[in-house]
Amino acid sequence: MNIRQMQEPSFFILTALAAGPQHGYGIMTDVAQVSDGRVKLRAGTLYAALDRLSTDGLVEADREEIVDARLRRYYRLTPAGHSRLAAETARLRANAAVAASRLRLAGS
Amino acid sequence: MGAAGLEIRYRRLLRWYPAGHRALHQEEMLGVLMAGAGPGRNRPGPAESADLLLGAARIRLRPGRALSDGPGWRDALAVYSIAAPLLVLASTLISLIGWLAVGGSARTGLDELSVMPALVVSGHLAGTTPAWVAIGGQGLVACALTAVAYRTWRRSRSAAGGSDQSPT
Repeated sequence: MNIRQMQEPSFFILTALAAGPQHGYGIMTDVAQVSDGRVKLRAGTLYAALDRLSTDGLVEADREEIVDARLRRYYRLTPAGHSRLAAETARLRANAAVAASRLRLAGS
Repeated sequence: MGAAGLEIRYRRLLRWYPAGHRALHQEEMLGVLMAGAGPGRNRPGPAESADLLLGAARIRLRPGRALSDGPGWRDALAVYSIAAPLLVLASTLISLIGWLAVGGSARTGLDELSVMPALVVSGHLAGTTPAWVAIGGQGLVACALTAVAYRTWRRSRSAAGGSDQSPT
């Protein structure tokens, strides 16, 4: 698995799934909510990201349901997805900490 | 007609996805698209269409994924990368014209034309169409879309001006 910087849609998809399995439309609405409406995933972006994430072994299909004659497939985080999200969170936190300390230096 | 028409148009866009991906995800994506479409919507928006086409391109370009069964997919992708923005531009123009004109009747012809690039590219993938025919085909489609747009605009303008020369 390559450790390049994670794209924002992927980051938010993993974040949405960290709370538990969700289907595609559930991920879209959840991502919009947790990002305060800043990240609005469209279907093409969502499924391209899910394709990449499942190829990388970070998410996997959980179960399927039929609701109103429509197929819903739920996705869940794999253990690898969990640790990848944790690593990305640590990276972002370290970046933010550096920036914050520099801003404090500049401000004092 | 609204929801059924919308579903048909989404299915048309989903044809750009690789067969393996469609077999697994098409119905699921359709469910997401229909759930996300507001009430009364009868065609995908330009941004949503572009996003679906980009998603298809991204999935096809994924390293390690077999892009197609046949040779010549590189040419087809090149054609695709030209055709997709043109189609999106054309559909935006047509939507704008439709909005400026009376409404429903201003869209005649676009649905049939928008299938053509898919046919040409898949023909090329199957090895029956040389690249220049595929590329020329894209050009023709773009010209045809422009012509349809112009004709629609003329017709709606003359209808609005009261001197209706083209009975419909």
